Amino acid sequence: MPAGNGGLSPRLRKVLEDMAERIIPSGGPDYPGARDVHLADQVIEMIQSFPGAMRGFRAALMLWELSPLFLSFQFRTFSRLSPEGQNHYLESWEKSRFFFRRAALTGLKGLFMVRFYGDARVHEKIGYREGCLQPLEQVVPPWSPEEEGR
Amino acid sequence: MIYEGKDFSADVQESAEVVVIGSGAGGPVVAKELAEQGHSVVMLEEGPKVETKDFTPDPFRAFRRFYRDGGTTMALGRPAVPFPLGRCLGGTTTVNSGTCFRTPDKILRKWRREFGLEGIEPEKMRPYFERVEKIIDANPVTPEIMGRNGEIVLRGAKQLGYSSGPLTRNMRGCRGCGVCTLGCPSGGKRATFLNYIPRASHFGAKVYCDLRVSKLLVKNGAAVGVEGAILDRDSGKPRLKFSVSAKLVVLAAGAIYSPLLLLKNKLANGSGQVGRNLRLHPGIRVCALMDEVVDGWRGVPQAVFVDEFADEGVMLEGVFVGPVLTGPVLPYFGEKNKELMFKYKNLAAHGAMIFDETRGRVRLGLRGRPLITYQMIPEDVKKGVKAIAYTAEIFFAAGAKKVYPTVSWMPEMTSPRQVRELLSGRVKGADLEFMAFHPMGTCRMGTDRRDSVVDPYGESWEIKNLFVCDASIFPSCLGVNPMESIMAFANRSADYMQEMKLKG
Repeated sequence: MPAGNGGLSPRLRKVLEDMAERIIPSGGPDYPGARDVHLADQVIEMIQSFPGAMRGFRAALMLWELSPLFLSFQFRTFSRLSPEGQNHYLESWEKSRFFFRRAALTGLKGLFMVRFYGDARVHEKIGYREGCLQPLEQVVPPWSPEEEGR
Repeated sequence: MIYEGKDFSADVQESAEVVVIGSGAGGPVVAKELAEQGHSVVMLEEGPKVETKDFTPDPFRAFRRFYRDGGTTMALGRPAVPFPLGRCLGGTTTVNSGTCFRTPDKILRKWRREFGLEGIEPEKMRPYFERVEKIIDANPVTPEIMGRNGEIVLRGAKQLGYSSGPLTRNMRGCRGCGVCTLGCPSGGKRATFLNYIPRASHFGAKVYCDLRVSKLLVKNGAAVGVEGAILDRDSGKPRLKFSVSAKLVVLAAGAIYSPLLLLKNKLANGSGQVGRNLRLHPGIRVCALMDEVVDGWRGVPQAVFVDEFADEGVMLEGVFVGPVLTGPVLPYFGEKNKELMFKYKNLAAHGAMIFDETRGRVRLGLRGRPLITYQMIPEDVKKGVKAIAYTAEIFFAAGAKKVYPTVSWMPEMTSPRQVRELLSGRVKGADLEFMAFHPMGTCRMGTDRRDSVVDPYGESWEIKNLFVCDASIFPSCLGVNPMESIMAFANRSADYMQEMKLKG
């Protein structure tokens, strides 16, 4: 479901795709990952559904891209790190002693997982099936004056 | 009659005896009780009208449509505490877990003893609880709809000899669909848009959705109405103006937006207490990997309680949520997190809330939005650690292979020994991940106008005929889910309004 790039430059698009792939890596037919469900496109589509949010999103991606330069002194931007380097960088957020860095990683996970684990193809693989424990035969209606006599 | 913003193409002017702001747990009770007595009532809701058929199991869509700011409300502090709030017809009752508790007798006595509140003794409040419970269909969770997640927690608690049981919920014909917090698709969870609001409407109350109140009108020291805007549903921007003149103004916008409206209007704050004393019942969440298939999403998500530790300020009540909300709170990222999520069928989850002594604050922030701060005190952090430890202990007793306690330096536990390590370790607030669902206390009631915002019936000490009827008025945390308490106290305030303000 390509949603267009939402005004993302190829570089920012790569940042988004790399982040998605590190957080939910692809691997094997039974374990779909970010690439298998076009997660970057889904995230762009989601952000675009909030009027005006794309601008802030682009800025946040650029900030993330540049952040290794001043947070880990790797002298490389995020998209130029190897996959292992990107994993190490994310790990430094996960294990940070600063609450807000750890919380930010949880937020990032949420951003990608809200689409990934909302995808019917993923539901099938993890065995999740929406539905009620008891058959939903009919909806219980709102109160009506007739109900008082029941 | 229920109107929506789209029904109007010109400014609206209304007049009524009573105008109620907010359609969550408190407002509809006042609206129904006074409309039934023959009074003209207008109730205003900022969010959209909802019906059971509108609910979707897609969390993204549900949070966007039925929650304030997509469910991203947050109290700033270390740790920051997110607390999603409902914003739709029925307010948070539409998207809560539907747990019903009466205000504990101990709390009512404490309020009598410490705050001098009279007339709220357990025996005097009992008729209000009974009346509310009848209307909202308060019933205990039965085995048919409990689901395995609840069964596992009860099994572990029983193994350890802990006091526990099924929760009572506002429900009739619940099918155990597992998505209470996204809006009940069966109508089984009886939110106020299914009971109090239709009753209020039947007795002649007018209900308006998509309306945001910005101004409380006051004349000669008494409230005389409200003004605001009719919102465009899609953009959320003001489209038209509306005003309601009324004899009584009832604020029931919840513990964040009721004080915010008072602060914006610079009203009723001679005590300086408006927005202060915010309590949240911060909650923790623990997941467990079981050998058995749990299918935790099938059944009532919040089905059971363990109250063994209530005297220590910890109440165990859990919610199992769908995969979208589970993934981010499990530890790790990448392969390790994915591996866990692909065992989703074997995951169980439970949580706990603490009886907080921390006092947060709601201030008027930028562009009229609330600035909410809540710096958790060490005593409450300790309760949070206990809450995690007790929940983990129960899971191990129920046969868990691994437990995921949401502690930054202990992403997983593999044996009960680590529970003891956690209890004896040094844990800072910032090491934990809290969430909350029960803001309260920000317009507290009392008997002294110098340190409370409203009197024991919810009327402002300073602005006559201005009432607050939501969780803002509670002078301390309740230790239980507040919905039924809000309703009972709102019913009591409505009786007072009828007797003292409207009769004759």
